[in-house]
Amino acid sequence: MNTPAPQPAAFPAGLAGPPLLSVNRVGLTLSQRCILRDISLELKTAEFLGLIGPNGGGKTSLLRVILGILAPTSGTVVWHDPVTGGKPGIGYVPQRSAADRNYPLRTLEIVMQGIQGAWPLSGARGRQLHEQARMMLQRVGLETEGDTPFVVLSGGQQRRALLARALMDDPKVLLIDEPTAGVDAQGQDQICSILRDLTRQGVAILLVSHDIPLVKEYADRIACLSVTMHWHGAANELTDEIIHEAYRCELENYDASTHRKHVQ
Amino acid sequence: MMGGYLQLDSFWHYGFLERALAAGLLMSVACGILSPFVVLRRLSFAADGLAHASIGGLAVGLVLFETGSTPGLASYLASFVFTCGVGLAIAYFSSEERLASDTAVGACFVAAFALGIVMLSWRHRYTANLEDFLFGSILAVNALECRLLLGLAAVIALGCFAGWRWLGAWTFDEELAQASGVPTRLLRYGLLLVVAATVVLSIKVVGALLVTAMLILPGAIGTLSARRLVMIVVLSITAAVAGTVAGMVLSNTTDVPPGPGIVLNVFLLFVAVFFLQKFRVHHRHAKDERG
Repeated sequence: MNTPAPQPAAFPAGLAGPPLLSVNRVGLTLSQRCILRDISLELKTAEFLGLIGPNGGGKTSLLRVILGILAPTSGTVVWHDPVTGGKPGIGYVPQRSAADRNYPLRTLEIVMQGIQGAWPLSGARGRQLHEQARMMLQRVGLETEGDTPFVVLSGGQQRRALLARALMDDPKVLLIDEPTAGVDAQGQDQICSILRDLTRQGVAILLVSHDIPLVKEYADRIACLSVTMHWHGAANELTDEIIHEAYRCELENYDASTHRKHVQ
Repeated sequence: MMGGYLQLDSFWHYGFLERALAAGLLMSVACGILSPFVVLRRLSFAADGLAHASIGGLAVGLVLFETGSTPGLASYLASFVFTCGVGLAIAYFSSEERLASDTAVGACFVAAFALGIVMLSWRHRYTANLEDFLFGSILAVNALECRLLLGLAAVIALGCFAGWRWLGAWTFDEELAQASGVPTRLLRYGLLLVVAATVVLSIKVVGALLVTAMLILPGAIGTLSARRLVMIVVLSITAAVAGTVAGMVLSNTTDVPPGPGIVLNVFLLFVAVFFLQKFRVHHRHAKDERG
């Protein structure tokens, strides 16, 4: 039976705790192509770390290395849960679901899969988690879609459902890949509100996104990845020149309040 | 009166019919539990490949370990090991980036099947009908085979229960499941081994060429009918058992061979469920349009 981990005391906004994750000089080569080279970063408790960079820069691959889906060619990934000393509870929201288009299960079942463990859930515990899943769907604005087959949802709705799934087990770390891509304005607001609440609760977040204004607004620190670590520092230290060098193009006129950017 | 027409009493009067019914039910429970996971993980062709490969394995066992024409425990073990070996070869060839998994399956199973036919042709003393392996000979099931099927069904049921939520997450998205701590490699190879054992032990019941139907059709019926994994598995088992009983009753009252009879009945169930679902969807759309 899953026992909820004790919640840490609320951290003041912007004040990160001890390191949860250390990525040490990680390199990754796939099909004779260098994807990552000499990447080192740390993620601390209650810290919001944004990961930006051009396509093919290795952002998603780095997430997959951190999660253990891909083995790095060199370097190490070390977790330091302050309570257990090992790997903390992790929630992961991928860029897109790999579910087959004929996959029959309804959205509520997908969300309930977020509870880790092997044995079936039954009795009072099962009913409690069932209710929790419905509340999670409500939190991401999908309260009417619990009985809808997951594959019938739009891309944006699927991403929100996967966020609900990732939050079911009260993770200490949330790894999230392009959370707002394909999501409508209301959905984006809901997701950003959830992310803000999570950092207040002490959850560490590592977010990969092309939405630079979103990342600058919510992240404590930003890392800019382009096969190597191009730049990392406090969010308010990210300048247009750094972005121009990383993306190798001019990015002008992005409006932080509306999260739009126009690429020249 | 219906029972007299269907000659149901004969199942309890004759030992061989009793064993045949027991073997059929146990096989249908085992396949009914496995089938949804084979279908949801898109392993239908791999299951078919293993079924064909098991013929090669049984032939290896007969040639190496048996003096007669009836496979014993050693032959079944040899077939199980051989079929698992083919499965591992499929997994190995599939890991090559330039080779599609269905190509790997096709390459391996035809070679294993051909090897089996060649080895059977070497046994000059072999007098059993090859059709028994291909299409089953459920009426010749012995007590040992029944016990093996009982053990298999129990292992599958326990494994499914113990790993229920892992299996659910794995059918949805393998990488996401792996990120959540699900041992996906264990599940992948475990399912492979269990499918290998099931096809080997089901050869006598429905035959190597038809066992694939029992690993695909019940799961297809379940996935067409339900949106919850537990209901999909329940419906899959129900369809497999119902089809098996109907097939055996049909065989008992007519000249239809039991193995193909079972498969045809399960297929008819699949067709009925398929069109029922289409009718329900059409009816729901018409109702929504009327407001």
